[in-house]
Amino acid sequence: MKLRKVTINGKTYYEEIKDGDNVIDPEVVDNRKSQRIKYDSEEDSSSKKSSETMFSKENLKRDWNEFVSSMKGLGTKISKKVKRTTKDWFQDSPATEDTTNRLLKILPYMDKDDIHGIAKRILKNDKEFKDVDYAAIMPFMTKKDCDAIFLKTLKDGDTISIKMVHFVSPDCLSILVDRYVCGKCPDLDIDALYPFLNSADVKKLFYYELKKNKHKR
Amino acid sequence: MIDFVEVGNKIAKLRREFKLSQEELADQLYITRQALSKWENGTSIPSIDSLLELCKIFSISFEEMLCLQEDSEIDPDNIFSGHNRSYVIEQIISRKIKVDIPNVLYQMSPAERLVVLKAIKAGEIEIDDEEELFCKLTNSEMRFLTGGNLYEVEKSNN
Repeated sequence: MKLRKVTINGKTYYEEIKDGDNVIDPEVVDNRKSQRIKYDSEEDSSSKKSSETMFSKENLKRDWNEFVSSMKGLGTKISKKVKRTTKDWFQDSPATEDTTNRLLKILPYMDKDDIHGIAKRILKNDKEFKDVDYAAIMPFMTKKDCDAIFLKTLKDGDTISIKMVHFVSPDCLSILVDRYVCGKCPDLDIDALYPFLNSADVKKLFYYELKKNKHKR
Repeated sequence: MIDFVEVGNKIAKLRREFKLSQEELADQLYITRQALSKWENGTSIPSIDSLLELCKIFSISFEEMLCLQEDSEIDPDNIFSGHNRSYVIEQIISRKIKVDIPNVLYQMSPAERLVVLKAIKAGEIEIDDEEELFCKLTNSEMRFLTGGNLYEVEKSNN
């Protein structure tokens, strides 16, 4: 008995080759799900006809059009998902991930205007950015925005992270010291600020404090 | 920026020179011994008033107390040894100390690396060998530094 190997949808079958079989290739591969090709010469003409119908131009064209329209639908779904993800930055992120980490994932890919938009929202006390570690996101911001966020932190009485100070302009700190020694910012927590000052500003500050202490006596 | 690790070492050194225990010095300053200990190991910072009191006790100027007139010595194999980390980073980006950045980058934390890279991006620090730097960066650091424009970086190499 001779057997012929037939592969349909990745599965291998073996069929008996009978005399008179009209077979061109000993191995037949068909990836269509519901089809099984028969090359048995004793097959009746109706089944032969059905395979001819299946592979007819019209059916192939119809199947192709269905495939194309399903791809279009998928493309629309993907583009909607991408738009939503970039617009509502945190909507698709897991709830357990904190705001700073979520921001850090997307900041490298954002343009300057978007990053400036984040700075503006922080300055307006947007709730969404309430718990953000400003020092972590400052590397991506302009000096102007960094200075503004630093001054806001001082004004709110929040802890100044030493990491923040690297991104604040020396001019910003100098201006603060000048205002302090002129008596314009009496509520400024200068003890928190002085470790970050340059030598010139430290000297200015300490001379001012020495003078103040002399007057106290 | 003030290097409070150096300031702490100075306080400890002067205290020993004046033969004072931590408790005795803390009593003179109306603080706890633990607070003084934190000052000496650089983990916390004395207030301005406390510093001025220390200057009086040890009869030195505040410039000497804060080591403002001293040059920092940095060991290239361990740039943070004996110094406050933020102080060292600040000295690097303000070009007060010169280090071979590509070869010391591994000693920095990711946040410190970003500080240095931002200074490089802004043109505040110059790198002799850009290629040597690029091969030490992560993909996101590279993107941060070049803005994704590797072509522009290659152009500047020519």
